[in-house]
Amino acid sequence: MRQIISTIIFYKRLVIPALIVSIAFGFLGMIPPGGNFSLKTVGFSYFLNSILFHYLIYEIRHPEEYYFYYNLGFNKLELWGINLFISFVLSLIFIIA
Amino acid sequence: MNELHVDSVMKSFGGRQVLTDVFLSCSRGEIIGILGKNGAGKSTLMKIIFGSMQADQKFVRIENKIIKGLRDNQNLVSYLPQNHFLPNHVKVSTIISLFCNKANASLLKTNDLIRPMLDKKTGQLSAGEKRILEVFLIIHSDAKYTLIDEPFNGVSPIYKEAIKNLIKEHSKRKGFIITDHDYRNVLDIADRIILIHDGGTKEIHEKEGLKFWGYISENQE
Repeated sequence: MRQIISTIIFYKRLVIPALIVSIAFGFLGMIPPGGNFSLKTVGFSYFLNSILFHYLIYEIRHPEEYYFYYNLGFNKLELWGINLFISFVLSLIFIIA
Repeated sequence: MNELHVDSVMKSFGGRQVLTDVFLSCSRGEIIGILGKNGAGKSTLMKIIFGSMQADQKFVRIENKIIKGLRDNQNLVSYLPQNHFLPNHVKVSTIISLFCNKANASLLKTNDLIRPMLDKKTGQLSAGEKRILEVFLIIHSDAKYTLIDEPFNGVSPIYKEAIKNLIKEHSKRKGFIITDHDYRNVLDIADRIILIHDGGTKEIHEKEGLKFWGYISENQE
């Protein structure tokens, strides 16, 4: 249970900025005449944005926060793995929907 | 063997050898104070013991288990870094439940200093409050050994006393390695003092030793 809550806390920080930017990318599809909002674009850009925001938030802006997760039994590689896995699943949902 | 054992630690940064000859041991029930000038390698040593920093060479053993990285020290070592490490978007009560077992969590939640913070998110706390929370969390964690880097930094004198009392109380069941530039507070609670000098560790038995190795001046008390 502890691991699940820690994972949620870790990922919560990434999901909102990554989603906002990805939805903005989705709306870019409406710019050309006859264009539509594209969930596929949201999905693809969400995966890339989650990596970008992980780097910006945890590696650049708040590197000390890693110690919170280290003390809870995670290492950096696992945190990157968690991000990639959850983001891949969410991206897939957007792309398939 | 209830002991944290560290030796053969070597670490250099850009050609500068910071740690060359480190030997350290800490038993459960013991408080080890680490002192050293700025840049002596105190925090580096703590991070190497914890496993969050790679050393050029190291040997760390905790109660018959050889620690090579973070994965090996789960429930054995907790570490309080110098800077604030708690995420700002989480409620204090949630963090306490994550860090502590049930008994310690309820103990912490009823503590007079912590109780007023419980419903706040850590981002709403002042720097001093955040530091007190971080120190208390680490002390109450389930780990058998606790490494504390600058616990008194930015904390009011009255709370420094509370921190010292808490470390003393918890040292009955776990080992502490503590470092702080406020050396008087470290001397107050430490059972043994280790000075890092020229990359090596020197055990200090009397305050005069700190003067001899140039950590404090001759007229300092």
